[in-house]
Amino acid sequence: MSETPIPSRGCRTLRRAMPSDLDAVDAFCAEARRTMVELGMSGEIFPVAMLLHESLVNAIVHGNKRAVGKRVCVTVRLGTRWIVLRVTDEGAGFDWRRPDATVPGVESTGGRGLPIYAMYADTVSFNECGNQVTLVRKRGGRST
Amino acid sequence: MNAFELRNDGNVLTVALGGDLTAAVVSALKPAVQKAIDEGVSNVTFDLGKATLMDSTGIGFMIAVYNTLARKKGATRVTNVSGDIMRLLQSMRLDQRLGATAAS
Repeated sequence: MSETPIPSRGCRTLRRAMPSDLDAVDAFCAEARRTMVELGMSGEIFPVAMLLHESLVNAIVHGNKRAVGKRVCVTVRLGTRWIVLRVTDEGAGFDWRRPDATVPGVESTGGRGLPIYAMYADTVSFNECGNQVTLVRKRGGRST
Repeated sequence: MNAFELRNDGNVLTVALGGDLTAAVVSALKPAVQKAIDEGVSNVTFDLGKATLMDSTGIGFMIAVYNTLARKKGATRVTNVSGDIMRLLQSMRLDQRLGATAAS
């Protein structure tokens, strides 16, 4: 299940198929952070970790509904100019054509996942049925 | 390192995070904080001195605690906040609501 990072065309790629387990999210994000430190990408760790956490937790909680038998597939491609995250769950998807990235009211306990995508990613896209998100961040191109 | 430590003086519960405040940590932390509130705590302080990240579940949890304590005329504070997390809270307009103070 765990794969060794494979350098490719100046990129480092991490791939994982993980169970619908929130502890697995923290473990994978820790691995991604260590890899980014190795690659001298410390300045991108916070935004990338935020995007990874949000997309993986969304996939487990909202996509797979925490179903034990369902898995989440994640690919993190760490390039010299771009960082690409792709997360796929085994749920039914959602209507991404009407996304709401508006920051919710201060009293709201939810609804901050999509605003976080918008804050830290340059592009956010979904597959047709909405069970796969691809987040692209340009290195050094944003203030957040 | 523990994910968190709780110090309860009867009125103020201090939650000292041992690392990041993520969905996985919230799953374990939520019942412990709720138990303390049920037993009479009316003020909660989150010490984020060892946290480098807080996801939306962590934010939502702190807002839920705030909402619960506000109904009891209590308060929620967040201390030792890193620059990255402070900017995140500011962008969500939550820094003042949660009484967030920066790490020294």
